[in-house]
Amino acid sequence: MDSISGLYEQATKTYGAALQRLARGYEADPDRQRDLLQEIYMQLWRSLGLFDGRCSLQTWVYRVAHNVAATYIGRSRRASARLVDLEAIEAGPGFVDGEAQANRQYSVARLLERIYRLKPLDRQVMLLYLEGEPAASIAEITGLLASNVATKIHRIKAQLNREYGEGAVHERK
Amino acid sequence: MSGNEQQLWKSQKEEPMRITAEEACVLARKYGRESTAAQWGAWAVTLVLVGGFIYDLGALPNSWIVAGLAWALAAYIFMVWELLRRGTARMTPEEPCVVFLRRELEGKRRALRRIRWGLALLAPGIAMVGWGRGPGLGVKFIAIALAIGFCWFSFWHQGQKVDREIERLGAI
Repeated sequence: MDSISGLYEQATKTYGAALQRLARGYEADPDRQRDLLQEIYMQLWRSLGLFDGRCSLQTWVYRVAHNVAATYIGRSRRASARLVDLEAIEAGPGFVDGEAQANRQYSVARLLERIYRLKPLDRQVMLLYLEGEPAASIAEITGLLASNVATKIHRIKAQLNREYGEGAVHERK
Repeated sequence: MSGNEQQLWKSQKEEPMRITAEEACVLARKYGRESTAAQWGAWAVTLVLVGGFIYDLGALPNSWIVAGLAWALAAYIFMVWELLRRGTARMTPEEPCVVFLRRELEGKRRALRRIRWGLALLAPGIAMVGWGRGPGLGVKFIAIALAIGFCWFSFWHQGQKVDREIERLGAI
């Protein structure tokens, strides 16, 4: 139990912020985001008793989180047709007043709108890509072939490029 | 949009929501209890139905109705058997996402197939009850048959969608 608690504390401390962003990437409604996050934490705790170190803790945490989230949106009938509204983003934490922040909010809302339309696996790849995970790590987490991950990432970049203009992708390079 | 989307994504500041190990442990125990309660609930409903059937057995007017109701009861048990046997507790989902999604979809496909079979199996039972009750139930029977047919078609349609999803995963 102690080792599970220790691993759990380590996982939530290290990946807590990423898990909260992940929950936002799956669920627009703030209350339901909290429910989803709570379920992720609970399942993570249950799973850690089986953690044998064959993969990294990061891979394990992301697998559990994405699988729980995929099941969660599968249960939610609204999931496939849902669009994010700006109010939901504005109601979220961490935003302050000001033009720059307003622009950022708008950009995040557009990004989320795109994410919510994706099927589970594509959404997983996109969210992991946005977290800055390399293709090899995404492949390990999702179980996809690295070549397929690379293709998907290429398509995601192309889509984002089309959506937001040439600047976004070129700037990153 | 300016800047890159990864920076934008990570720039979302999160409110601190932490669940301690103790709280997670409590949630997990609650989840386990709820799963067990759901399984016991399914058993209880089944036992009430079987008990009610046995209790009414003597009052039923003829053997066609007895046989028809017994058949329908068997079809119901066939449909809920997996829930009775295994409960709702989910396996811990630490597999790679593709493997997990495929397993989930295959489970859903099996459940939908079982329900379709169960609905099809209901038909003879209902027909036997109707036969036992004699003439005068034409409209009711057509309504029941249409309702069952509609449900069967809905589950078939869902099953087709699940099949396509599994095929798509297979192609990845």
